[in-house]
Amino acid sequence: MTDIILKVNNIFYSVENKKGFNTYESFEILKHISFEIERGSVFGVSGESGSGKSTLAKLLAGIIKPTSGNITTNYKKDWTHSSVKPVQLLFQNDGEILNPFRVVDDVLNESIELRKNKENYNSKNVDDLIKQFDLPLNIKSRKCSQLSGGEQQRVALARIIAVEPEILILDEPFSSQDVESRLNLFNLIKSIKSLGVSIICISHELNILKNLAENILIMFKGEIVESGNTIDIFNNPKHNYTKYLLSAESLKLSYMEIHSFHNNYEQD
Amino acid sequence: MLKASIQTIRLKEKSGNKILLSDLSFSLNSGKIYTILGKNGSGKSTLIKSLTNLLDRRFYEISGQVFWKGKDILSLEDSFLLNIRKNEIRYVFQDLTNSFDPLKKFKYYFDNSGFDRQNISELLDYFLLPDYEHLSNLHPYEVSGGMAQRISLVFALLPIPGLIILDEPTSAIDFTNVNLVTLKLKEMISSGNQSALIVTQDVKFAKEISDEIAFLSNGKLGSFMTTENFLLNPDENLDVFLKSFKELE
Repeated sequence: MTDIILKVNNIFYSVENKKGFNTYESFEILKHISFEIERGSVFGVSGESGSGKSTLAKLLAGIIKPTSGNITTNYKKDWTHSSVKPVQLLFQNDGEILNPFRVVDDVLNESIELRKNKENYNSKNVDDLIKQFDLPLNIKSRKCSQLSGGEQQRVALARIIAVEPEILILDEPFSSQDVESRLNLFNLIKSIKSLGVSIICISHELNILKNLAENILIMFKGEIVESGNTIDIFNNPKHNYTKYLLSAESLKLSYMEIHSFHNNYEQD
Repeated sequence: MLKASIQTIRLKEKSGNKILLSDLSFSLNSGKIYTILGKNGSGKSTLIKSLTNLLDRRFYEISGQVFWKGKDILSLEDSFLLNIRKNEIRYVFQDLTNSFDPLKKFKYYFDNSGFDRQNISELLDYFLLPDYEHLSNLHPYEVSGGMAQRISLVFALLPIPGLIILDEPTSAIDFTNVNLVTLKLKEMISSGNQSALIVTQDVKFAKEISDEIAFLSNGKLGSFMTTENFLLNPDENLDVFLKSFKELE
């Protein structure tokens, strides 16, 4: 039997939009979402912008609550009396994830303090973290505003890993980075995985997920259109949308294909 | 068509001027798509801004010439320069939502473009954008980054410019849009009178779209080579870049 860390059961999420005076219409952002995540694996979530990927991330992290349905988890450690959550989320890297006025040493120490003295904590200090995340040693005394985009992302990741979460959610970690930084991050994610952390990686780039995730799910307009083993989906995509995404990514679509696809789906 | 020979671009600093880029010499012919590849912070955006004298001379010092149809852009008077920027060399910048005035609706841009509704609507439709009527009433902050990019591209394409310069056209937009942009640019250059210059870090996109590629690193620009030759004979710095790319694929 496989070891499941997180199970999502038929989640719906809707928001209410004000329509007129005192009248509201409900707008469904996520519909019929169900999946399972294996412990210690990398799980990919893909889809075009606006398909509800980031909303799903927030639901999984517990920032927002589903309108209906539930999420069950099976953690190894006891988190009931902990001040931190077992699920941690790294937001899209837009240079604003860290407080620009704080010193790196301070930021990392804070996370370490949060988990210190709890059972099963692998005692770590800031230097260990800096080494683990391949950061220059002098970074400790720098302010977060003095870091490059890639360094900021690494420090933010180090801060998260310091509290030893069981699930790590990455929201578009690869966007706006050059190839070299992408490769570094790619390897970093693999090394975090080897620590036993289960990772959910959200990305619109299927090619990166192909080499990173064991399982993926493809979202379209708030619904899952396809999910399963990554290699199977790549070799044999079943849903038209998945096929469309794959050929869009290799820039092989013709003008007619793009337009007819959009006209077909615009109606609903 | 465009011939640049820039010796140096320097940043003016109190402690002396710092050289950002040096030895930039290349010429662009019509009917081709040129790409400059480079890492983050290698000076790609500075390079393209220097071509139409967009760099603020209070902070930058440029020595060299950029010839456009026989005239040196860098020594032209403002009125001529504005005309070139308006009709002949058009840009699509990277930070698109901010390249529009957030307080003005798109109607303002449509009205001032000097083109009629028919022309604009055709391009809007091509790029899967909302129709003229709907878009006229939107503010730039009400559209997504991908949409802002396509709108910017519509405005760039309208005057049928001789050269269109795109800064990181693939960053932060999804692949359907990248695909559309690719198709449109290829269609555009097929007329033979127009060309495109793209700066990007996206090797895959560069490979797909370019006729010729050059690599920018350590403040120097390599020479433009056909895409095949470029990928076959990488220099040392480029090699690392390409290797990372291959490992990810």
